[in-house]
Amino acid sequence: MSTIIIIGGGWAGCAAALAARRDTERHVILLERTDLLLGCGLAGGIMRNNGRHTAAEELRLLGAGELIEAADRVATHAGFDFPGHSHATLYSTSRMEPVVREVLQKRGIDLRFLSRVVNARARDGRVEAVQLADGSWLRGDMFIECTGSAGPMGNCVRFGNGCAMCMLRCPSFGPRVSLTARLGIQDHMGMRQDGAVGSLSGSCELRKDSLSPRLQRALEETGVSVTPLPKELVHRSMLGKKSCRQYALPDFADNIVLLDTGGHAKMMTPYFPIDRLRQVPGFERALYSHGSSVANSVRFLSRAPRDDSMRVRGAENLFCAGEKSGFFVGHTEAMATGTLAGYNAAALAENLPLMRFPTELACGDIIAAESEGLDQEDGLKQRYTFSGGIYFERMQKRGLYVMDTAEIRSRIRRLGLTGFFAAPHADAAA
Amino acid sequence: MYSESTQRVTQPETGSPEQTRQTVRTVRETAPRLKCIDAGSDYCPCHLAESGECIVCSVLRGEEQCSCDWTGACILAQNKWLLGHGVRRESREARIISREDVGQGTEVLRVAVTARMASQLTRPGSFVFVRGRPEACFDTPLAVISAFPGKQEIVLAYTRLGPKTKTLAACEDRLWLRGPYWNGILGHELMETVRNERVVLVLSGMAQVCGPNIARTLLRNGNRVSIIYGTRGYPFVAPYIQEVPAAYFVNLASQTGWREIRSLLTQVRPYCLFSGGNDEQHSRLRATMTELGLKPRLATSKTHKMCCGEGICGACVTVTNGVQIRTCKARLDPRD
Repeated sequence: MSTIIIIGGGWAGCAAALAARRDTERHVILLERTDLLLGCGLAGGIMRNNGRHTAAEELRLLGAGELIEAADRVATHAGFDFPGHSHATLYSTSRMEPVVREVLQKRGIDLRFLSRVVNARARDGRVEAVQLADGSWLRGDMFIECTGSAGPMGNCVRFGNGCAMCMLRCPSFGPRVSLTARLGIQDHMGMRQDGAVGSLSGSCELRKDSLSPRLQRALEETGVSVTPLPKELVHRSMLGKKSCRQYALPDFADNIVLLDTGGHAKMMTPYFPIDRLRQVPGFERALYSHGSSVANSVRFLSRAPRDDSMRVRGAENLFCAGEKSGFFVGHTEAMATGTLAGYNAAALAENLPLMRFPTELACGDIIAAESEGLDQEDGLKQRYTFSGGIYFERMQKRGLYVMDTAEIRSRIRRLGLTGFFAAPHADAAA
Repeated sequence: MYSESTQRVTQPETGSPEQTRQTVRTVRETAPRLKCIDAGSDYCPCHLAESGECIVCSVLRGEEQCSCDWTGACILAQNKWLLGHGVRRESREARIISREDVGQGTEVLRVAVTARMASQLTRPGSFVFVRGRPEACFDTPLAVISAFPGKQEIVLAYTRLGPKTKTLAACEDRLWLRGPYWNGILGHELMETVRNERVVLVLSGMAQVCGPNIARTLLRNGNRVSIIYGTRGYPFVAPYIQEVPAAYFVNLASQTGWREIRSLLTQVRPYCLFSGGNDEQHSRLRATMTELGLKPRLATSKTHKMCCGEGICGACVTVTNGVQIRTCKARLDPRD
C-alpha cells in the first residue's frame, strides 16, 4: 500500500489526510511542526459566513464534510450576522482542536507531532523523501505540502512589526520551511494593497473576561459586538494591511468588531495599540490573550505554482493545499483545497486520473479564479475567499452562492459527484 | 568586504563562462543550514552578524530568502533589538586562587570569576581563553573542568607545551580571561538531550577535562554514567567527578585495553558514548559500537584548532562538501 506524507497539520493538512485515507489501508502520515493541529485555525473560528455556507454544504454533500460537521458540533454561535457578513457560525477555538484530533485518530491517520520538516530530496522530478529536524529522512510515494505561508520569524521582522507571538509559535517549535523552495521551485510572494510584501493576519484575540460586563454579555448572547470608535482612533490604513479582504470594509475601521470564539473575543483588526484601545468605552481594562498589540503574523509569502488538481508544477508527486496553494483565506477554503489535494495524491498513487472540482461548484470556481487571477495586474495583491471580497462578488455573479441545501444537492447529483470523496475510488475524474 | 565564505573551495565544473555563471551557485547560495553555538545567547548577534556573515541567518548574510533552521528567538529580530550586536566577550583580569602540579607538565588552576561567568561555564563543552600576558596574541583555549557559581571560581588545566602555555606557567597570580565559550565538544545535542539512559564516557589525555561537565549534565538528566579512563597515570579530573561511582582504568595503547573496552560496552550496552581523546580514539570507538550492534551515537571532544573562538581568524575552518565551516561557531555533529 502506498505511503502518503502530508506536511503541516492545519485545516488543509487535516482535510488532505482524511481525503487521502478514506476507508483504505493506505498509510497516511501527517507531520506537524508543533504540538497541536489546526495551525492558524487555533485562532480562527469563522465558518459559513456568506459564500462559505455554500462551500461548506458542497463539501458535505461531496462526502468530505467530516471537518465541517466537527466545526458545527463545537459552535459557540450559529446563524448570526456581523457587518458585511450573514449567517456566520463560530466554532469554539477552545474546543476545536481535540475534536479534530479525535476525528483523525479514529480514521487511522498516523499523526506525528513535533515533526518539523526541514528539507526534501527529489530525483528526476519526483520527491523521494522529506527530512525532519532531527536529521532523519522519511520516504513516501506522494507528498502534500500544507505548510502555510507565514514564518520564519525573520519574515515577520522584515515585512511586519516583528514577532507577534502568534499561534504559529515559531520560537518554540522552529521555523516553517517551504519545501517547494527547498526543491528549487519558485514560490510567488503575495503583496499588500499598499504594495508591501505579504499581509497581516486580519484579527487578534482579546481576553473576554477583560472586557466590560456589557460587552461580555453581548458576545455571549449574540456572538458579536460592534463598538463605534471615537473619530481620533480611526485608522483606515490598517485595512490595506489585512490578509482577509472580506473584513477590509470601512465598518471594520470605524468600529471595533468583536466575535465570540469561546475562550477569546476575536477582534477583527490585525492589532491595536493597547493604550488607544483602552480609550474605547467597554475596553478600559482590555488585555490581549495571545499575540500582541503591536504586530501580527505576516502571511502569503510563498504560494506554490500549481495546476487546478493541486499538483505542484515542477514535481511529479507533490501536491499543495491551503495558503501554500494560493492566496486563499479561511478554514473552509483550506478544507476544500486540502480535500482535493488529498484525493488526488491517493489517485496518483494508484495510477487513477486526477480530478478537479468542476467550476459549476463554488469549490472548483474559487480554485480556477485564484489561478486566473495570479497572472492579472495586481494579481499578487488579491485574496480569495467564499466569504467576501472579489471572489464572493464573482460567486454571486455566477449564481454559485446558494443558501438552499436541496438546490446544492441537486447540482452535485447532476454532476454525478454525490458522496464522491467518501466512496472508494471511482474511475470518475471530473 | 571580507567574503571568503562566498568563494567556492572546490573547482566548479568546467563549462563555458556563460554556462558557468548560470549553473554554478556560490557557496553562499547553497550554504548548508548550520546551527550556531552562540545563537540565542547573550553574545548573539556577534561579530559575524555585524559583518554579514552570520552562519544561521540567511537574511543577515544578504540573501533574499528567510530560511534558517534555528528554533529560538530570531537572530534578525535580536539584531534589531540589540542595535546590531549582542554582548561582546572581552578579556578581564582574573585572580589565580591556587595552582596544583598534577605531573607530566600539567597544572590545574583554580581561578576566581564572577558567579555569572561560572554559571555559564557548567555546560558540556565549556571553555575559556586565557593568557598570562596583556598582549592579545597569547590567548589559549582551556576547557573548564568544573565551575562553582557559589564559590565564584572555575577549575582549568593546561600542559606546558609551547609559547602560549609557557606564559601561563610564568604568570604569577593573575591572568587575563575571556569567556564563556561552549563549543569545546561535538555533539551537544546528544549530551544535553539524552534522558534516563546508560551512557559511557571514555576519557584520555588532556581531553579528560571535558568529562566532569558532561558527566554532571548526564546525571542531572537521570542517566546512568560509567567512566573509562585511558590515561597513563592517575586521571587528574577524577576528584571533580566523584558523583560517578563506577570508573574503569584501561590502557588504550594496547590490544588488551581495547578488548576490555569491548567487554565493558557489551556489559553496559550504552545508549550513547562520549569520547574524550584523539581522532583515532573516536573512530575506533565508533567502529567498536557498530561491531557490537550499538547505534553509533557518539559525542566527541573537539580536535579542531581553536584560536579566536569568534569565527573571525579562520584557524578552525574545515571544508565540508566544498563549503568552509567555522568550527568554533558551528554546532556540528561528530559525523559531519
